[in-house]
Amino acid sequence: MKSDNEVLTFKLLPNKYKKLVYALFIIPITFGILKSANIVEWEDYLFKRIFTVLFFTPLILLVFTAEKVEDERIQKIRLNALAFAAVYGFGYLVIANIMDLAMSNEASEEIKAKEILLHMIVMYLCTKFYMLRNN
Amino acid sequence: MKNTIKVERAKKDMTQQNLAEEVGVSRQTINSLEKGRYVPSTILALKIAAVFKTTVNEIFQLEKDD
Repeated sequence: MKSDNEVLTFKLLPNKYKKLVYALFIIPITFGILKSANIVEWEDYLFKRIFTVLFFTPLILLVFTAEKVEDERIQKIRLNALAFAAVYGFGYLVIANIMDLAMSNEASEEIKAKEILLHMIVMYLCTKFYMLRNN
Repeated sequence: MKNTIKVERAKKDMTQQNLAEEVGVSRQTINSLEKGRYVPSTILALKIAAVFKTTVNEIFQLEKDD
């Protein structure tokens, strides 16, 4: 008989790739340092696009990397953290817009999708980390 | 829901790690179960009962507020 977690979830990256994923963060960090030190001369828009891709790729891979032992408790924690991150993302979108309206008279910069996505991923990883240690 | 995993484990002189390996979960999951912070699935409950050669009802009992 297949358990819920076998039926409902998809394959994750094996745990052995976790170190490789962490190592991938070196690329955007190096890229950022090179840009801020003016070693490479890139157009701002081009830098932002490339940096976003380089930074989000390992971050998303980290979300989809398995733990050492993947069992039903981890699956439940993963789902709870995902639900919490989604609710946080919606809340952030609404509250950030209300705060923007209340605080500034001028039209401030629009809240970007990547900003919300970053908040949600960080919240997901933090919640999962906390739940793994306290549940 | 309360359980007697810790007692059963002590009777069989098993560590949390031993039990975890037998039922195919992490040691932290067994620890959470023993502390009552995590309620297992039916499959895991049956696997644990099979390790201790007893029934699920013997190991897991409902509490008043369940």
